[in-house]
Amino acid sequence: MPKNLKIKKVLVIGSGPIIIGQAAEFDYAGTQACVELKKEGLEVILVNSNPATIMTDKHMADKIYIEPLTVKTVKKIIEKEKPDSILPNLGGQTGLNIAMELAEEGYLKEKNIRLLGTSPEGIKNAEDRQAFKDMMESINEPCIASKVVNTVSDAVNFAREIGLPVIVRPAYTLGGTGGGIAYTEEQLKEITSNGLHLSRVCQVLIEKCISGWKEIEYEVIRDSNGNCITVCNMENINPVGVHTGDSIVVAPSQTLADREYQMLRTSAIKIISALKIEGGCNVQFALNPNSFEYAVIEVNPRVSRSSALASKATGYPIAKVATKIAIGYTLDEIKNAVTGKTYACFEPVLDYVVVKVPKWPFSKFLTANRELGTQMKATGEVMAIAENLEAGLMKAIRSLEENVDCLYLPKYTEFSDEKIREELKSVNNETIWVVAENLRRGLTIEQIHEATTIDTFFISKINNLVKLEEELRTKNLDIDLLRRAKKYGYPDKAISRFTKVPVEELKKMREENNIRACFKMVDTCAAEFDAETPYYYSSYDDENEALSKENKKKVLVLGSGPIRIGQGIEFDYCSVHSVWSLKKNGYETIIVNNNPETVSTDFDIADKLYFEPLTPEDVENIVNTEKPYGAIVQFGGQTAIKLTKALTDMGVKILGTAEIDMDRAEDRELFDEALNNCGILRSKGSTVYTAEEAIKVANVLGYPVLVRPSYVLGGQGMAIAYDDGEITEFINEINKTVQEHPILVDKYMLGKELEVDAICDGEDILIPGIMEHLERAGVHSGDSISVYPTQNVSEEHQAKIVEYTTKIAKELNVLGVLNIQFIISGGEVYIIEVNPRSSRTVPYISKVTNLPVIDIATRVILGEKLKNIGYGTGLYKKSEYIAIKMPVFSFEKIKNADTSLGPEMKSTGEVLGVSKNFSDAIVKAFIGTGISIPKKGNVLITVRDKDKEEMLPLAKKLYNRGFGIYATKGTATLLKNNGVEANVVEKIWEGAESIPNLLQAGKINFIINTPTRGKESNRDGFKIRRLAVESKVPCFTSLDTANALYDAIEDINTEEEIEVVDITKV
Amino acid sequence: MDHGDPENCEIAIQTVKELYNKNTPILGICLGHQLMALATGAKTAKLKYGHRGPNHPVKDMATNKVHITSQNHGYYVTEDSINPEVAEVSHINLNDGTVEGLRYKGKKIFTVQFHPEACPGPEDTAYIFDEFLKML
Repeated sequence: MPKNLKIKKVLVIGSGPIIIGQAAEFDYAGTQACVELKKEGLEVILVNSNPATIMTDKHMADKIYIEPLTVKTVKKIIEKEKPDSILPNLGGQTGLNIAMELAEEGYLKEKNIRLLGTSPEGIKNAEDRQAFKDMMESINEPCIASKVVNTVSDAVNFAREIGLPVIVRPAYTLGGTGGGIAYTEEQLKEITSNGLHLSRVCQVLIEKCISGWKEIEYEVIRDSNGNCITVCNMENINPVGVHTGDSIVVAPSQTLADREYQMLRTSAIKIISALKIEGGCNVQFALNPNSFEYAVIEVNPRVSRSSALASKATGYPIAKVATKIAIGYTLDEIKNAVTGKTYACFEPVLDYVVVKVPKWPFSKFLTANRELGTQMKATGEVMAIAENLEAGLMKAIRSLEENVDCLYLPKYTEFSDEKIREELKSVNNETIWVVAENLRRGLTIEQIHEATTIDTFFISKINNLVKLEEELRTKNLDIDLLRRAKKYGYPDKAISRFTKVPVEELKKMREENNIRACFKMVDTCAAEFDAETPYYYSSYDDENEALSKENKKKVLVLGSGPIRIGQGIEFDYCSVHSVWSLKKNGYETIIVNNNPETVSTDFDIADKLYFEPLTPEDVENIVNTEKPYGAIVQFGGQTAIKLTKALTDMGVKILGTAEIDMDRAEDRELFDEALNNCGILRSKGSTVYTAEEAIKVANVLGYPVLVRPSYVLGGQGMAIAYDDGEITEFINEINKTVQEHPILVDKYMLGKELEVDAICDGEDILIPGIMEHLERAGVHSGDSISVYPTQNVSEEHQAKIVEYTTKIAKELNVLGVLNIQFIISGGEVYIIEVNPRSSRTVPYISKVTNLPVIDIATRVILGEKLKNIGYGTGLYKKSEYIAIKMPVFSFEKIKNADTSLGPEMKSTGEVLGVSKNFSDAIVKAFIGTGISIPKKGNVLITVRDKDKEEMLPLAKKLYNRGFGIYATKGTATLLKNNGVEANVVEKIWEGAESIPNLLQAGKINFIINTPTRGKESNRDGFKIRRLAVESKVPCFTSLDTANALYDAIEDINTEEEIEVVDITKV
Repeated sequence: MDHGDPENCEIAIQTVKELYNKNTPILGICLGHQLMALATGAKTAKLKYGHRGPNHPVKDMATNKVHITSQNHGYYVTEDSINPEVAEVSHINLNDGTVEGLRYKGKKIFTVQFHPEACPGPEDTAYIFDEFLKML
């Protein structure tokens, strides 16, 4: 069936800010969708609140709305643009939910708008728990047996029907408290009775316990003619019980025989046929490891994180094909873009193995619970491709950038045999290292299987790595052993640690014996057909398939690895734009990255893609094969920057700011010298290595001081210390990982923070705009609300900022982009830091100023001069629009993470509010982050003593507007003395008016809580903040943010009149 | 004559011809498909690499639906050698357009080049056996 010609104007709904569970994969999918729709000559209207995405770039769609993803806003856009169709299944759950709401309330029918792809009924049958169960029953596909019961005897009867063990889940208790697994009828009675008591509605769900079953996923595609294919299947190393986003996943499945594989494949196809899916779909199964019994866990009737992984694992562009299907094509009409000749109606073949490992934010949240379960906690993931599973695992581990490059974690060697064995019972982010350590202690594969229920196949793979490690430790390193170690993915550094043979010698040995990495293709068809756009992975054998014929100058662009707090999708945006610019300027482009969720790892972005870890050794292998003219590191975040020295040592020319100058920005003393040369002020400080030195420095500077490691992104390990004790606490934390660089101790200054991104060509600079942070210094810039253009900065100070930017950029010989953080304190402008690289604000400032920052920077790097490029020099003209960037957090996903804001970044994503006036922009930004702005209601105020005076005006304003004020005793008295009647809340756990009760009863609309010092989790403030997260009540830990909310409250009554802004016209 | 050339199977072709003439209901698979074609006057030729693997898309001309099939063969029945009065093409390979199935006119016979029994491989074309049973 060819394209449906009635479709002319399509609205695409994106997925919004990056949060845990919904990350860059939807930028990848959405970008592919927009490109395909435009290729088909359709008019594309896009809405997405996330400004860091590539899909919200001007040339991606005809009209782009960076607006809150709410039904209200989408209706406004529909009314303005009058699209005839909506593409709902490529924008994650957010996009799908909005489209479904519009469909269900009859709005789409009323406006005569088509929902492309799967019908609303199909989506409902997949998403609605009961409808799905009924549908599965009708086609004889087994679900996990479950039943809601209100009495113990009903629970027992049902358990007798389905067999023990069962899981008991009480309804409506916070975080699933009171539930558990019952193995005997006695236990069942006890847990159920307890659960019924705890549940507010006296209800528990009894569910068949299938923990320990294998978890298998199939990525399936179906078209309107009923053609179905499976792109690939994937197997979780962690059995059922751990969210698939938190599992180590391999593709294709490794422990299924053909009969099991085909049984589940047939079931997946039967299910999507029954649901009449048109597009991509993901089916998750649980498979009993001891029989052919299986159950359908879940179906996602849309493109998902798993489909991004499946796309990158196979080369099959699921989002692209799903888009084509949505506009009418059938699979047999769509070309396979990788081969260019065959059709999309086939199943990819893998002659390699793929390993995905999640990236967790636990190094950021020291108090957080690291246990893995049904709530996903990972912010991102890495993918490795290899010729064997061992090497895949090793590559993935070092791609994580956690300072670990093998299965040996020194901390576990200190555990007693008993204790390390006990650790097997806990499923957390370090499970594979715990398994490895137990194997080292002599536990058998079978024993570990019994303790963890991980399949023996996977344990034996880990065992292979452990055995090899043992050989390296004990045997003389001969050629055979070295070859085997390389085939298993051991990096030279690790081999050197175990064998005590220096890395240089290993390298020599490898060269003399021809043990070198060569590259293999991912081409969807295992070389059955010629590939036009393959990508590559390394392996240690003889045939290199990546030898290139092109004569163009080659440039290596280093990507930014997994999405993590502090280094997110923005850097992928920058890498991709740099590649596009290089291509336009006649260069051959090579991307190195390991993140399967991103646009940069799409097969048709760079001329060549290497799916590899971003470590010096792995990059050197690529350099040896490609011999590039140069490398660009300044767009790939800290991951790429960290490789600068290694690349320079390999003899690769760094295009853009040189290594030596980058160092001058990072090194405390050299940087001071540079600032001195320019006559620029900065806060006083010094570099130290130990806590004792730090205390000495702090006492000279005077508290409070800012303590931070150098060469990090996102303020990792950064904290404000108020006394000697805190210094010791923070420095010990920083020194838990080996520091190659000193620790910085600076006088902490209070003031207004400002930020610029700029481009420098060595002679001139171009500053797109100055951004102002709403929160005062002390909150990490990534967690602050940032306003462009500045609202409260004098002309004089702005001129000073331009002057300083010019001076320091030239002093540091910046070629390309740089980012500078300023502070205005006591009427003076100081520089806090200079980052000679792209920053997280580049995508948004590019969009609101209409300056293609990365393109200009890339051209400058290649030798063009700013004055000839056509955008002028100096400070670029101010936009007439105000853009407010607001951070989005994922605290509800990470149990026990402290939510108070400080110098270490905690947000996972961001939204933008754009309008001609400040208050509308701030309303949009708040709504975009998911905070509902109350028109009236109650506020709980608990602030530390030194903030009490400052809090008064805000409390008064809220009170005068009719808000009820709740406060703890001390604060309440102060408020009363100042004419604000406040309800006294109990401190804090007892009574009807206690904070937990108020929050759970939904009586509080938002909380203002400024944290006392320290990082401990046993304080009242910490408990209040966690309670707020769990009760979904917004909690502001900075008075500045709360004041901003008040601005929004004043404006919210006119929400209906706030206009949506097409960013392509800004 | 190459190894694996179905034209080598002279005795088998003779047997198939006899069965064809006796109106025996037949479902031919893979070599069976080729032998039936040769027995009824069609020709086979060699593919450059052959079709191998469990992922070959085959279109059923009657329903216009594509199925994923297991295949392992180096020769194929050439389409222009088929006498339209004897047989019609029921399936084609989506990648290269070669003949993947034939339905014989006036006979209870049809044959497929791929493996509907799928051991190993996808079970998409299990319906072939249902059709055969129905035909009986």
